Amino acid sequence: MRKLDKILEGLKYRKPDFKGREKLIDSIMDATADKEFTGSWQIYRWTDITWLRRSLSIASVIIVILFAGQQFIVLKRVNQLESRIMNVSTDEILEQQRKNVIANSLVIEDNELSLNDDSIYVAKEDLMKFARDYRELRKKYEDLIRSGNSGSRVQKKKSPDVNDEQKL
Amino acid sequence: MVDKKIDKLHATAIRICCNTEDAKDIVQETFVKVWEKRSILKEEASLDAFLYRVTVNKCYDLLRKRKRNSGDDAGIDVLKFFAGDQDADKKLNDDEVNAALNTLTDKLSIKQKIVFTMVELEDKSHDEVALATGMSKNSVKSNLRHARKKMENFAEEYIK
Repeated sequence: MRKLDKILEGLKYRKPDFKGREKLIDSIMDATADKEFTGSWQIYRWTDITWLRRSLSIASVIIVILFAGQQFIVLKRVNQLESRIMNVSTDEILEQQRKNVIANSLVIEDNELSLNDDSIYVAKEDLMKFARDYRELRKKYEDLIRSGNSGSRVQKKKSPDVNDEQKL
Repeated sequence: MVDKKIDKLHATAIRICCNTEDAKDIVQETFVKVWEKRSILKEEASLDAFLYRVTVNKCYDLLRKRKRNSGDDAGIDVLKFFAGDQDADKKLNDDEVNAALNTLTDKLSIKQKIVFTMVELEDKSHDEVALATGMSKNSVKSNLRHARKKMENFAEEYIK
């Protein structure tokens, strides 16, 4: 028989004494009894339920994925909104500028002022007011002329009648 | 349940740790842990496997923490006694046997020590050791082969 086998046989034959066996059993029972009334055991008891633990892990992964997806969608929509606002505002500005150009050109045409851009600086509102006043005055003037013309025609018509009366 | 299982667990723990007090602590912690997990341990077979697994894990942690006492030859005389024509009736106390075991397994890694102790001294099957240690059966066999080789070298070299 080889040395190692002899040694192993000797070690196996001499099993360790179990001194204080009863004392150890008592301390185990005390320790387990203490654990029975420990609140923490009751609180974390659900962690022993495998399916619950697994489903909570899966749920947490799903929540993280949903959160990431939601963030992506929100960011995309915010970007779209920004570009839309920029487009709208640009369109509005261009439209306003176009109206202003038309209004200015109308004012200039109506007034027949043919002012050079660099020769005079007038506020737009003043110019508009001026144009309106001018248009009003011109209309009054034309009405006056028209009424004057019609009055002289009546006079012209009447005068032969007077002459006729004189003749009679 | 404690009364029924405590002897075997204590023997395993004391042979792996080579220390009586550490073995008692490990056995107590093992039973407390089993008590905490009793709701998931329904069958007797799974209970046995769980008991050994917890015990072996606790022994493993303890051996990892313990400073390796390389070159410990306190038990060399006992080993020489075993290797010679031993007197079967000669009484040896636990400390002497522990010292001999510690000296013999000092050169082994922790895994090799656990596998060697369980198979050679506790007569556990490879499957039982694999279940208790969480290793594969091949890994158990491999660790055992290396351990035996180291032990044989040690016995040839130091025990004359």
